[in-house]
Amino acid sequence: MSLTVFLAKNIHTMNPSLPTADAVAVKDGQIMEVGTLETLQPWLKNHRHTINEQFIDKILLPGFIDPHLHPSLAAILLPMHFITALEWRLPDRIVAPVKSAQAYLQRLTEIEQSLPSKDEPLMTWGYHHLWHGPMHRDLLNKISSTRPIVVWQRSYHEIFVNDAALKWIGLDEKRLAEHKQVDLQAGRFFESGKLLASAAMSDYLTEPKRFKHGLELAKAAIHAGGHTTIGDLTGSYFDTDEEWQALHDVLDQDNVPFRTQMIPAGTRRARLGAEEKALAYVKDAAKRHGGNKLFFRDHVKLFTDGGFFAELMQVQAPGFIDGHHGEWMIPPEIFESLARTFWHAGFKIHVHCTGDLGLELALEVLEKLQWERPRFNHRFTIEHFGLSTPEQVRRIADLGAIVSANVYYVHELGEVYWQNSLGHERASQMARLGTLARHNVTTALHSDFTMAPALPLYSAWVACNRKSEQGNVLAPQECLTVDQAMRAITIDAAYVLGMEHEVGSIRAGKNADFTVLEQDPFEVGAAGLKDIDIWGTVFEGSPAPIAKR
Amino acid sequence: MPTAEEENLIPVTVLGGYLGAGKSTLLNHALQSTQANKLAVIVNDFGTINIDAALIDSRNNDQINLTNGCICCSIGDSLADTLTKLVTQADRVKHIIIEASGVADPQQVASYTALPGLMLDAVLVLVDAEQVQEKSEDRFVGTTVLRQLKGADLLVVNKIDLIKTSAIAPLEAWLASVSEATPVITTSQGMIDDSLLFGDGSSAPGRFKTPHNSELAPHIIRATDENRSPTDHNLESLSFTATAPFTLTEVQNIIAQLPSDILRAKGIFSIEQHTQQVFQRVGRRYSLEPAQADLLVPGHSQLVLIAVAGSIDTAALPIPMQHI
Repeated sequence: MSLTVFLAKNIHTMNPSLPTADAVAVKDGQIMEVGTLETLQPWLKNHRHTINEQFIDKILLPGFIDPHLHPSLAAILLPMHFITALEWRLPDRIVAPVKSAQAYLQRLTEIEQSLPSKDEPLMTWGYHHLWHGPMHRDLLNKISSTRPIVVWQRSYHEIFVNDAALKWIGLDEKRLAEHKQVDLQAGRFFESGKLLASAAMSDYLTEPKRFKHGLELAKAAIHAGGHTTIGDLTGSYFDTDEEWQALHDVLDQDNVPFRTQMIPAGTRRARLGAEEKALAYVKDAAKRHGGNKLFFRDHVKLFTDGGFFAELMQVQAPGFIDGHHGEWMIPPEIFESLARTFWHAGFKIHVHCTGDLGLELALEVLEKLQWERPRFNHRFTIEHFGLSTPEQVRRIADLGAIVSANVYYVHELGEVYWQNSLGHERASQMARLGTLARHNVTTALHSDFTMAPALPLYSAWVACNRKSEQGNVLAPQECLTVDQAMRAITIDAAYVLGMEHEVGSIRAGKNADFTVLEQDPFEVGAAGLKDIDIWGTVFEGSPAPIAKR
Repeated sequence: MPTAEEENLIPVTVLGGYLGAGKSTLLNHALQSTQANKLAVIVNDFGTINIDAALIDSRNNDQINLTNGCICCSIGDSLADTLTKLVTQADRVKHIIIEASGVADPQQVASYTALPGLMLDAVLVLVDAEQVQEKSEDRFVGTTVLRQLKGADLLVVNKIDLIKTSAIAPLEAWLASVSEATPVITTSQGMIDDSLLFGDGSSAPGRFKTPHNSELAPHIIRATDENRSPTDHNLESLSFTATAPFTLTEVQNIIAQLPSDILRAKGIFSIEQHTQQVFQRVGRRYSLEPAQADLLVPGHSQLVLIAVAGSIDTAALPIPMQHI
């Protein structure tokens, strides 16, 4: 196969030794050299080659990497009708913002009337009372008395249903009336009530045809974000044969322009005394489910505290303003014993931590493990990194840990948690990325899609501007520079996945993965990052334009 | 409103308690019980359950079918699916015990009994007598442990043999203060009486024994100490009947005045010859619901109390019924 030289307006290599270039030579999916047409001459003299000028007016970056997202969750959500306060750009649609109660109901009515079949359930996602006003089952009954309508709140832990949906999901009304986390009159299910309702709908939501269609949408969304590598941080969500089959059918095919590292949860059926079983399960996962574009490495995911969107993170004193408490995903003792087992087996451990008490547990355990058996280059990764203290960041640095952060929290939840949950000081300092940078802690950005949009440039924009949805800047001291943010979605994200020698920057020997942009992030600056147009990607040397809508 | 029996609701017991409190040991005993007929146990992991190979009928990834019931494995979000499977399977079980995770809020697990076909029987929380106070102050899990204690209908203090006798009373006093006076039973090796786990022989009120003597005088007779029936583990069951109907207010008064030491109670009360009401109590939680059809001879009433032997002064009980 001959050599291809891509010429571009500018190439940001994310390799500080040669930060910019305008030509990159590629062969067999690999980068031969990056530089200028002049510096590439030794290659060109010795190899047949073609010059590809299709990117001559475009900007090349290393292919974007999201080290933590969930294709299977996206497959559940994306087939729903989106009605959202903010614009959502999805591969199959642009969701125009809907910002008032009246507009919300009008849009929902339009969708209802557009559905071909009379009894097909209508699932919509994106409702938020701050924009769309109070929701009530009577409002939904007015839209349809026969079609089940299910309104999913933007942060997933609340749903509203109409009478037809209540009948359709089949829960006992009398018992629901006694349920503390169900407001039957309003048709509102929240927290455990929501789990109950979604479980009752799970056959519908995970029905194979719907699920596969959802995965196709997820695949397109991941491509549209400019990704060429992702990490699925549970390595399948439900761990059923059907799910694995669908994942292979959709994501492990030749036409997929990105690769997925599956990082299995080491906590499945975990208990004290059975750590070796958990280790064997994780080691075996590659044999059971490994493919070509779906692959496993020596990485494992563990958990400390509960979800950040659900306000179930464990928070140190002075706690939540309303006095509620967070949750542990597994007993801290089991977390420690599993971490020990995987640490001694040489694994790279990713720990889901959302609150500062969850982080404290992770750091305390890491400190013990370092004492027992010191390891360098261990890549112990704090995943999500919602709440933290500056002192904890210093310990993260001291212990050699790294961070993969969901900075989107600041944008969506910063102000809500400031007003309702944590107060200004702690809420504004969530995802304190600036402090991480000042301590030289390697930091990646992730979406945890579907928690945040699978758009690395959007995450980078939040990291650099820290603007809440309501427009306030929260803790400007914690902003990243454009360079830091771009590293966090390329080379530093590669480091988190243990793939920095293969992807994440543009240099000789790496995979020829590029994200092709219409504007230059370093020129448009922090404020403009989210509005940069993405032409598409190059995956292992093959251009993969994003389908135009 | 139909009763549990007529709707054929499956009673569900939630077994909570922090890691190491002895939930698996208790479940192993439950599975050996003669009352474990058509019992489904939902656990986080099969590995902690000792299963007599002779009892295994068939097994797949998530379910082991036994000759006298089944064991299901369920993790996290799949609990609702597992419960739904149990409700809809052709060979229905008669009782379900859910082993909550060591950090779960048992009340939250209990909320799953709102799924169709189920009814909450009881939330039992196991307590490690030796560890619980220290754990309640742990900076990571202290609030979790306290929330579990508060979420119990009945506290089962296990490993009582591991602490000094003199430490038992202070421990009980401490538990009463943090759990808002939830009834406590002490044990070791996770042994508890079947009647606590499954109720008095069964959990559905329709399966009540018929009154021993249908010719009882239709008036108030105080209970006596003569017919206390001992159960296996230092518990006793006290039965009462009446043949004249009550007013609803009278029944509510009886219920309100029952001593807090009662671990479990079940009753059927005839109200002024029109309806019968089903009363169930586990620890401090109780329900009183109308029965759709008569479960006893019209006008008759029956009440069974289970308590630690000797803890109830029957002479002082405000129950205007005959003790049988």
